[in-house]
Amino acid sequence: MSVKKVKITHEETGLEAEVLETTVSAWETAGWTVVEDESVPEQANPAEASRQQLVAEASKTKTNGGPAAPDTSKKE
Amino acid sequence: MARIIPNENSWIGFTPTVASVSAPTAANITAAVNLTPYVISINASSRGNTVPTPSFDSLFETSIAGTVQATFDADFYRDDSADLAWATLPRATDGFFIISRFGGAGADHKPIALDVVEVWPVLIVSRTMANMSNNTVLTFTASASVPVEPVEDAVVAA
Repeated sequence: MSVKKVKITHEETGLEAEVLETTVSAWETAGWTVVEDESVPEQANPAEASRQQLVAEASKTKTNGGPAAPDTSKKE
Repeated sequence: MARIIPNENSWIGFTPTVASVSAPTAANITAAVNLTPYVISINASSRGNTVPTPSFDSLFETSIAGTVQATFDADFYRDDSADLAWATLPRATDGFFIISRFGGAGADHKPIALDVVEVWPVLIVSRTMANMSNNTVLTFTASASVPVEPVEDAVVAA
């Protein structure tokens, strides 16, 4: 599951924040506006990213004679 | 000094950012979404755990202080024209609930500088509609994890 965030800024206070794109309408009621052309890159599931990093490290270990990397292929 | 109820006293806001959990600024509160009109109930509580340390040389079972955990759940109204609470709190939303139980000194009980508030860092994990039933207003429950230790006695900075 990916979570798309956008940058918003509060007109009265000058604060900035990142929020879910789907919540922008709610923040606009409190005086926030979307910062144009500064949408935050889509963030992949952190757990998935962590898993992929572990797999990559395991693959390196394997070439050095370590244990085999886990099978991450998706089953249909 | 008096015993009070939350109606027309408390103020509840949700903001995406705070300068400090222990000292949110007045600007942070100004920029918060005011959810007070939508709140039915809030369960923001922390709980400490104790670790039993009994020993054979005593009939008294001693214990020591262990970890502390916190939970955050709140019930809100839906609204067919201004569904603000529902729109603000979808699953995966992170932010900070600002709770002024006794109300602040600002307009409509909004906290201002030097007021004491609770700051609850949360990540919404579920947004669940209540059962739809006859002659019953539509409400939902937002449940959240508490990823950072909350501060129950934060003082609003200028």
